[in-house]
Amino acid sequence: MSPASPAAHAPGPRTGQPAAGLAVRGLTVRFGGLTAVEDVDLDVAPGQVVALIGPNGAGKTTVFNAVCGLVRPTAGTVTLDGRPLGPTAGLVHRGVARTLQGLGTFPGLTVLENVAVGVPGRVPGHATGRTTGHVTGRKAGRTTGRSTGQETGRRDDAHERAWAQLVALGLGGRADQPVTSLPYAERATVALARALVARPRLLLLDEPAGGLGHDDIAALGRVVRDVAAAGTGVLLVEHHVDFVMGVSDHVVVLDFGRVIAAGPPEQVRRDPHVEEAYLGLPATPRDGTPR
Amino acid sequence: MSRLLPARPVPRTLVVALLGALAAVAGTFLLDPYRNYQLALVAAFLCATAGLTVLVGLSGQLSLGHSALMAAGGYGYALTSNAVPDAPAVVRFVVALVGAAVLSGAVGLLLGLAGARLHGPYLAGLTLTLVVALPAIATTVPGLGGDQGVRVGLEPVPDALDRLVALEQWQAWVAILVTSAVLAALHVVVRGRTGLRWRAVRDDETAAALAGVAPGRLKVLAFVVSSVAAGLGGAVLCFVTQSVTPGGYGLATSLLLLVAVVVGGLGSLAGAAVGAALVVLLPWLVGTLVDALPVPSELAQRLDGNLALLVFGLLLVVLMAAAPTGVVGAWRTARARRAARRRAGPGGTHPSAPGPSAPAREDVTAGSPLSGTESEA
Amino acid sequence: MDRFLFLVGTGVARGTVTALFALSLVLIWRAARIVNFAAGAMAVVTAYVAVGVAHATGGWWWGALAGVVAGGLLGWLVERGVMRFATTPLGGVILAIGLVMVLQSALGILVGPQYVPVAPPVSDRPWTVAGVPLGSPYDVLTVAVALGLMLGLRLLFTRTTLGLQLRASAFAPEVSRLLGVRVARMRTVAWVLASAVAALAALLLLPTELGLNPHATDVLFVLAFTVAVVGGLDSPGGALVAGLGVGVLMSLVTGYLGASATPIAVLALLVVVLLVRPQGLVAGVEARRA
Repeated sequence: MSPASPAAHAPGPRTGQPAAGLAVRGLTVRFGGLTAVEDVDLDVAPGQVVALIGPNGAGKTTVFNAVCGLVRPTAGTVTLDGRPLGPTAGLVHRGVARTLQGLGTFPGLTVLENVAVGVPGRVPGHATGRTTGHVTGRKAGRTTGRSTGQETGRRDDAHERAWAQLVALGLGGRADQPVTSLPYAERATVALARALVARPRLLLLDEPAGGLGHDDIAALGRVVRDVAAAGTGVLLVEHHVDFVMGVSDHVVVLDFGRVIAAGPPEQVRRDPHVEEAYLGLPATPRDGTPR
Repeated sequence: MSRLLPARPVPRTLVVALLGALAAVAGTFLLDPYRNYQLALVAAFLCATAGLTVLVGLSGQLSLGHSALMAAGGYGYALTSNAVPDAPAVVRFVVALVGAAVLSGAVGLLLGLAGARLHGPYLAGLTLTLVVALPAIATTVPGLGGDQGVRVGLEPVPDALDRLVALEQWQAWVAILVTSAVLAALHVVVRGRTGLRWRAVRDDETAAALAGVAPGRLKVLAFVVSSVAAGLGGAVLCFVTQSVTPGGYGLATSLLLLVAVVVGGLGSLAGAAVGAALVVLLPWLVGTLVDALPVPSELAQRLDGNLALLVFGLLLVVLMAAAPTGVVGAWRTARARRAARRRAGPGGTHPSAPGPSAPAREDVTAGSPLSGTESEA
Repeated sequence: MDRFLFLVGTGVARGTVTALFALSLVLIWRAARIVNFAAGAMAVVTAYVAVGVAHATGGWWWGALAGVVAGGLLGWLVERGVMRFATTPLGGVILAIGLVMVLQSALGILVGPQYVPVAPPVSDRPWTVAGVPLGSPYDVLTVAVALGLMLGLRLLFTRTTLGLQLRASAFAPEVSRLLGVRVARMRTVAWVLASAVAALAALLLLPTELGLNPHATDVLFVLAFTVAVVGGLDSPGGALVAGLGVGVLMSLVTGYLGASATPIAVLALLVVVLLVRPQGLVAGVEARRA
């Protein structure tokens, strides 16, 4: 079980009070005749790690897409801090960042540029003290005041933040390389860096452990716990059950578009309906012994 | 440790542009009047090819009607210039340039809003329709002068320089000045935040949107910027030739512009210069060749416009099949491969990479909208 | 009023043929996800072939047959020889543009810019009913041929195995490949069909134009593109409906405002449709993007 994190608590009561964090209520998405998601409720409080699991085709990515505005819900609401989330391009400014299955890195850009794109443009000045460690070894004189023009001024700031984020994730040395020259695991980290550089209050991770080896998954788990400890809510979709159980405060299980179980990881793990959904075996009366 | 910030600050761009302009101006002293005239033409077309290469290479959109946008600039220049005949020459010129930018920008905005926000060939088809409709527009809209077009008065060499330079040289100077400014502005935008966002949108619109970049708005912006650049090129052409007619900006010219940017390499301003030179010089070369050949005059007439187009078309098809990144792109790929080999060196595996997964081949063409491979699972 | 009816009549005829040309664009779009920007240039080449054969043999129908065959052949050549180098949609359009330049300039060198008048196989003088000019025999012929061809294509797609394979390859290439469908071959077949159809459509429209010349199909392409967009690029039925509507509209514009207004009207229509309802007036499907 994950160590107690500052904000690991059960989700708020479903009475419609505007709590901080993500609140999904009655989400239903239909594509033509197919109901992908039906009447899903979900909460992610600040600092809480919530995992969304379920068999293939259960509708997990559809829920993500609905939260991100990539898919229009047929019914239900998605709110952050009580206000509905708007169109996709506005998410970053609301403090929501998401990674994509299939990475979504920009093949024509360098690693640094990939992350720099994620720095929001018009966000009122954040304190820059949050980045871990001081960057050393930069050429002297780079910062001597010559920031003429808004273009370069803003762009340098974005590059600085991107650089700091890369260093924090261990990829500082790759900054100038084309992102396509990196192995898969490192490209996944670049995508994660791009999501993190926006300093999100809600982080959506779409199968972040996919394709990663053991060490990389452990590192990913540490990043997720660190991010949550700093107050960011994390919602992740994942198939890797051990990873999910180790990193989450709360697990929601989907099957055929509906929530079939929700609760702390250990409770969900023992839930017979969850086993049934994954293995296709009918639930039998439980007496506590493992199957 | 590698360079952290590959940025070029604004003053550096301005200095480079200024030096380049001065070099070109110095060069005009070495050329005869006809060559200077051609130089002015190249400069004018360079504004358009630079805008087009940014549009296609950085934002991934295609315009088949950029000559019509040049025409819009030309008409804007001519009509504005004729509207203020009594103003001092410099004022008139500047105001006319503004008129060119406004008209071409407005057309670009309208077409951009209609076509640039959509996935698919809509912008290409729309711009094609514009250029096909240009003769009709010139005939129908009052004040555009139909087939005859609009004429402007010649801006003579200023008195101070009258003894030093001939007319063509003077015109080349003005063309160089305007073009340098356009190129410098484009360069700053391309290297800045906007250029980065354009490239992100080109590579993956969804990922870009999730990162906070609004794809539709940026694509429209790219089209408007490239339209204004083309419009200023058209204004320079009008300045040099003292007229703007629909015949000078037909479908063939638009397609030539496209060939120019593909040959030079999409997204490359240096490549745009190569392309512009090609667009002006190759037809002239072909024309001279045809005149020199012993062919009956009727055939010569048929060859006259068409042979250059045929060569360009073949060049385009061959290039697209063999080297989609153009001349400059191929050079860059070769240079990058050398750099990658140096970087890999003996035993160079990154500590965090699991053994089997070797770094993918460095794909410099990955930034080109023509590379067509998504190397991610 | 009679003028109005006459214009509507010719508009329907021309609109049906334009819809046929638009249909060829829709076919290739569905099969290969590109708009064939070289369609006009290819069609004008086949038109020259058709007219040449017609003059040589004295029979318009032989010419038409030759044109259709030439169209299919050219479609095959273009797809196998040029379009297979297109790795991205953008690359495909650029290749097509290169082809346009080659084809039109080669034609210009070979045959020159003169307009070659093309005589229709049946009379194109309109019947008059109670003094009101309606359609002409030629109008009826073009509509009959165009509709017959569309019906034939529909039967092909819905009733034959080949049609099923074509649709499957267009809709889900990976799955079709797994099921044994030769997807690449289907794409070639689609190109052959589409080019043959476009050849006939262009030929049908020629007698009512100023004559054949290397640029005779420029406006037709732009018009067909607009029709395809208005009807929805994915929709063959939409192409027909839009073709009729746009055909009548353009005929009225030409009749009341003059021939020079037509390209402007096409441009205006395209801008308006793209601004207001880009998925076409025939309902489209909203696609998921992630």
